[in-house]
Amino acid sequence: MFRTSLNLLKGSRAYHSVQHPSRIISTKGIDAVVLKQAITHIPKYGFDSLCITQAIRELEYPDSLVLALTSSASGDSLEFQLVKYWLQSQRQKLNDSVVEPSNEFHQISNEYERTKFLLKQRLLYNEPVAHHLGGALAQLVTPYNVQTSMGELHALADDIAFFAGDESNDFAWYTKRFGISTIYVGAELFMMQDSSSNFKATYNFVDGKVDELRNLGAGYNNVEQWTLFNAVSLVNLIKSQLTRG
Amino acid sequence: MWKAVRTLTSRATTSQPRLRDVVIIGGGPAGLSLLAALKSSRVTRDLQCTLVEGGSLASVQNFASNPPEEYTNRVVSLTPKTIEFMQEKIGNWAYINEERVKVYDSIVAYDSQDSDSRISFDASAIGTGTLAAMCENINIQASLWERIQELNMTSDVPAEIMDNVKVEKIQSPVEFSASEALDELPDLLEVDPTDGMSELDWPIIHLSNGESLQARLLVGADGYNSPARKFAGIQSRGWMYDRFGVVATIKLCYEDYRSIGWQRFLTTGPLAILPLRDDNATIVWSSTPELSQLLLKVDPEIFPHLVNAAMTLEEVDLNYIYKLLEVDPSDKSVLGEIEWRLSKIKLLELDSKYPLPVRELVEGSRARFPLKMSHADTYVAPRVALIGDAAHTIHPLAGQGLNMGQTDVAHLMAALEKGAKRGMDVGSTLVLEEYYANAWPGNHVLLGVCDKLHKIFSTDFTPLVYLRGFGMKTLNSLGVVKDLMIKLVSGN
Amino acid sequence: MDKLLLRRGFASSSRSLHKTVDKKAAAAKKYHGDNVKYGSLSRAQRAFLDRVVRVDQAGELGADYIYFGQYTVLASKYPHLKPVLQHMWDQEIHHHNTFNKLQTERRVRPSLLTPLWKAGAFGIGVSTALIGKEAAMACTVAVETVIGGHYNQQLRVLMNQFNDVPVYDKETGEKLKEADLPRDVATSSELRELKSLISQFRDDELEHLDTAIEHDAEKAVPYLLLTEVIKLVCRGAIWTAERV
Repeated sequence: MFRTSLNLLKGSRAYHSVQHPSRIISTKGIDAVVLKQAITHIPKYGFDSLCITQAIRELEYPDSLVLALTSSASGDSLEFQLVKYWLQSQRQKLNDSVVEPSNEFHQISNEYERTKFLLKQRLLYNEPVAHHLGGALAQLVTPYNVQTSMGELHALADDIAFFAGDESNDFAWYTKRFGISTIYVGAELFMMQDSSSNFKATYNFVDGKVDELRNLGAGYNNVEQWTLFNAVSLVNLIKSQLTRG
Repeated sequence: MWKAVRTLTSRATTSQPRLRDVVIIGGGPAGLSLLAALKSSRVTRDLQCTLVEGGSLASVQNFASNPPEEYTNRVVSLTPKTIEFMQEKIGNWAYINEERVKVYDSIVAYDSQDSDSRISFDASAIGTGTLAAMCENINIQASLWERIQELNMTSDVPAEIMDNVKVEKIQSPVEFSASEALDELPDLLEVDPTDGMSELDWPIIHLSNGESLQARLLVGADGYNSPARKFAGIQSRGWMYDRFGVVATIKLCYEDYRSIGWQRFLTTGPLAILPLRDDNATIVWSSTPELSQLLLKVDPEIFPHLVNAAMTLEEVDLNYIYKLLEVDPSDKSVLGEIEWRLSKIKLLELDSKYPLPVRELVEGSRARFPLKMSHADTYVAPRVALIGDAAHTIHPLAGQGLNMGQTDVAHLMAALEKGAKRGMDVGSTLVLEEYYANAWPGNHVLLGVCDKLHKIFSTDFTPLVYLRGFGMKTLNSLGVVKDLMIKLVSGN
Repeated sequence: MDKLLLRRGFASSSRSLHKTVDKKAAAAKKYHGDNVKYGSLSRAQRAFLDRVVRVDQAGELGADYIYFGQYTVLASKYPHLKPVLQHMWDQEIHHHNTFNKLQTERRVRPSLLTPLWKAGAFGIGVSTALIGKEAAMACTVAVETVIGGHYNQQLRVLMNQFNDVPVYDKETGEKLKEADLPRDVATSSELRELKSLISQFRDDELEHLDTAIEHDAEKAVPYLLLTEVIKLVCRGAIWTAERV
């Protein structure tokens, strides 16, 4: 568990260079082509290996091509590969939509409001597959998958925090991403059994939770400010009494 | 030739700074108190003192003969200790316009989340029967002015007060010779002590009227942005509260014979109604920037009812009313809303648990100022001392700001008297550091307490609300602890 | 038959003639920052840059707070040291802000133990200053020595291990040879700026080292003990900040 967390900290997106490109998912490679087709079937069949076999058939490849996926280097099961590819492609979609200049996202100036917008946007992509999310979550929490899934979750939280305009340089960096991850997972769980129209209840849930995070952040800043003030005051107190002689 | 001599002498008088023992920058209550105290004390009365005030002191001078009809909106609460100090050490209490001073014997503070969580302080514990006295700032300043004039009449060394004179620059004489380059550091060891210029390090204060003074001791009573503190290179630590204090003078429905001061801790900040003589009262409402803007914009007819609502209704109701007023600050339907909600509370309860209703607002008396907490690292530097807001600023919820300034004056006087008695240089840190040692810790504690009170009462996080409600009720029932608190705050 | 051969020969020789002309033309094309694009950094390179930004940010944070602590204690007692300390502190604040910005822009994870570094650095600053002003200067000497060496090490890696990044022509997409490119285009401006930043900061730190020695650092009483302990603590902190 310790090594898992250490690996998480190392992160899969360590340093984001501006001039040296890097992408989230590869679009070359036969497994990428198959999976890209497969995720279009998720709304109908759920996160099942059936999507992959359907995709292979549609792309007019021989059925035995599925072996290329089952024997992939990562050792993941078919279902998990599907889930992982789904998560990564949604994240890429979020990144692409943010970069687009016409997006209304750019009108919002407050960092927490932007966080709300991005979370809701990402949850919007979940809407077609909302009733299958249980299957996906089950895949994500199995012990041998949890390292990768946590990495994905962290990457999503990092992306959202960065696009929202987070500029923290200290412990707040961690608490914000942890907060966003928690809110996202909570929202997904909420979404799974949300029966309100257009998932309104889920989006209200997100709004409420981000407001709580904002208060927590303010609270932490207050504590740090107070601690620094008292540290300096202690020095001043000592100095004042030393002058008594 | 005589012309040459005359020009030489005139040039000499304008360029050469005038030497003074004490120069006080700032003519607020702290600065004037120090000047009056210096001149009252037998030990220090022969020091040559000058007070420089950038604004006009005309209203202060006219107050005694021609006080304004309505109460001004800057009113402070004076603790018995401060009153005693003013009576005995400074001697200005005799000149206070007592008809405009209201004495209290109890204070009630209650929570907005639960009106049963309240603390009431009674003055019987301290025997004088006075918990605090509400007095206008200008009343205090006027009394100090009168006292200084009285002392000047019989003094060989009358105190000098310059008003409408701003401080342009404060300069250390060592800077004249030191180079601006970073590599060359002014080396005080290079000063030749046999030079004969023993006042070499006295700061020079350049004034806007062309004069310049050179002070043995420079006292900064010049407020939060103190130029004297900046000159001494003293850092001030603290933070802005992101809150504004809104003050106003109002009239109650009828005179409050109970002499109670009320304070309700709303989540946005405490609202205090402090009755003055007759049916006058003053309010101090600490609120968020948006709310304070709204309070200043609201129609003067609606304002009194808003205050009544804020002292009695639930926060949910208040937020609804604020929303209505944001849309239209003159929306009269709000009055109906407030009245309907107030009618839900039993009349008996309204009478006993809540303050008297407000009848009207005195036009033009609304103002707001930003709230902050700050504390200077040190109160003294070579040839510099800081008192009042220049040294510390505090949240107004406990009414301690001016009283802290007065304790500063008391401690500084003690240190200066000690130094003067021993024939020491009153501007040297040997004399001044005792003031720092005595005054700093007490002020720090008070700042911390008020800050924590503010933080505790600004939250609506339910567990904390329960906790503080429990705390308040328990504290209210522990008479001994309350008496101790009153004694501490009033300084006995 | 002979005509065919001749034509083929002629064609091939003309082709080879074209080739030499093309090569010269390619070499003659001016490449600058706007018409090239760079390939990806390897995983190891990215991990290294990640560490560099994180540990340098933590280091400058430490230096900032050490000077803060020293200034708080010494400024009132030794007014003639105020400008010196203030100047060094201001430079560290500038370094700290630069790395903070870099950390945000490159989306690098800051050190998890940042509150610990803040408290620890302030504590070291205050305690060495309380011992005496020579001890405070000795602490500066120790810290700046370690930081100077550390920056040198980073520069060495940046100069040697980052020269294999492929460069492509922006329009044609063909991979360009290092020989065809002027030196300042062969490396991306991002890396070049990082290198110049680190070398400039290293020079500032060494200047602080000299200043501290000028101000009687070596007169501190347990000089060797003080400096060696602080150097050890610094090295430990650097190792930890790189990883945690």
